[in-house]
Amino acid sequence: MKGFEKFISQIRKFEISKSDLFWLEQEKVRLMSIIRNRPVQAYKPVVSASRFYRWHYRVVLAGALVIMLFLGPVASKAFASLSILPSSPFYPVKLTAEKLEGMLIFNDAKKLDYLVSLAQKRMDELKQTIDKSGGVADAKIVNKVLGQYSSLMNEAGQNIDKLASAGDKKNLVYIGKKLQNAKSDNVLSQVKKSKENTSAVLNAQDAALETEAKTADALQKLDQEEKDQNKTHSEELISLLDNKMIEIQVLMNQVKSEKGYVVLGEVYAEFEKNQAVLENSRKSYVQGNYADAIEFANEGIKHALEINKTLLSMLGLDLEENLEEEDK
Amino acid sequence: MDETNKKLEDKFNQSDLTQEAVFSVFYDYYAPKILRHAMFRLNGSEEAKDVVSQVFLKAWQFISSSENNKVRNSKAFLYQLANNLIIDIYRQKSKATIPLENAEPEAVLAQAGNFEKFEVEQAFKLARSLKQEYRQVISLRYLEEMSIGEIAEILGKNKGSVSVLLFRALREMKNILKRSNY
Repeated sequence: MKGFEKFISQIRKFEISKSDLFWLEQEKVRLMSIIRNRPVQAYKPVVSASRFYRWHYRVVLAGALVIMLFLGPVASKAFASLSILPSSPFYPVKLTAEKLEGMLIFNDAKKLDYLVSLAQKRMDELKQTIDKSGGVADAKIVNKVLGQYSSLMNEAGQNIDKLASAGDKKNLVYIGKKLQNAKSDNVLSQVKKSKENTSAVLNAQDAALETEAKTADALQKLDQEEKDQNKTHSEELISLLDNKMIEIQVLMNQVKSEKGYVVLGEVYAEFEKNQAVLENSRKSYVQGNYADAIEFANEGIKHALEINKTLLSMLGLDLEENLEEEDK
Repeated sequence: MDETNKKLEDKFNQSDLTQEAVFSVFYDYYAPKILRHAMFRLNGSEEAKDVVSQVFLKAWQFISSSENNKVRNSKAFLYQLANNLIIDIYRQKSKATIPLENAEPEAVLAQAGNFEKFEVEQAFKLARSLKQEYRQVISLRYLEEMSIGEIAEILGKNKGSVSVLLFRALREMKNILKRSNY
């Protein structure tokens, strides 16, 4: 018989032993009992279980995660706050720590503040580097720092949109002021003298201007929105006051016909005053001073209600009862 | 699909039999075959027994977890499960070929005479020096005597790929036999 054929015939002779057959019988009993008692929970991976699924690895991983979550922010914050200059070999570590710290800020306003602060920090570092090197810093280092400044400003620009859509005017005003300081024109003009840095300086200036313009735009938009809201509100209030004055006139006529003209003396004077307030409110509205128009109209409405109450009491009616009737 | 398997499939479809009863029939028929297949491919009989346990537990879990989980070809399904588990074991241990001295001849021998025992032992030792995927295809083709179509279904490959794999496995096996003057 040839080698290969002999090999195949030998392989085919292979049968499992009696002890293995006995094991199979025992295993069948075990499996059937598992199946009968716990049909779905029967499966428990033993052979294919990887290390990750073993409970003690899970515990270790969970512990490591907790430590990272608690100590990570503290460590990164501590490292990011160190005064390491761009010429230091530890500078990239500091930048990474800053990034980590930034990743853990989830509030849009705080994140924007953080980004602008970092941009300002870059300028301060640049100034310190120049001072340290006697006025002429390494062009490569300067370009690198300016690049970081530009990217921070661009990122801040993206966050400004988020703040604007949330209508956070207060923080936008604050950031607008902060951006003015972060521009650091003196430092940039000092660096711009070197030809190798001109392009980077221009990029940085453009990024800063763009972010500033975005902030101004966002503020302008919010102002406009506020103005539009005030306009609508003042229109509503003036119309309400106008109606109240007509009501007062009707009541005055009623009092005049029932009690005579003399009784109205003081009330009529009050009515005249309030008419002047209504006119002021209208004037302010026409001039575009919607906030003033709202103020005058509110004052007029308050006064009109008092006059109304007086007139109703003259007619022997109560304002509150009158209002209840109106409601019904 | 062979005739016995077809009969088993028919039994499975009979409404008067419970799933447990059918499972028991399947176990009686396939468990020894799968154990033999696993023993041929793995180093120790304990690992092979683990494979058998897991195959039937997984099969039961699959069938009982949903009414929609119907097995089209039970033989291919069980061997697929076995193959996946064997591959898992290989991955866990090492990708390297198992050394010959680690083999457990007593676990794989038939009840035969001493000389025959020695011959079978020799054949198994030689087969263990094959690559894992070659050993798998040789086991399915010559030990389990499956058709190319059945092997293709178990391995999830087309018939052409299985033929090529089998050809390479045989070529390699022949080289090994030649080198060892078998």
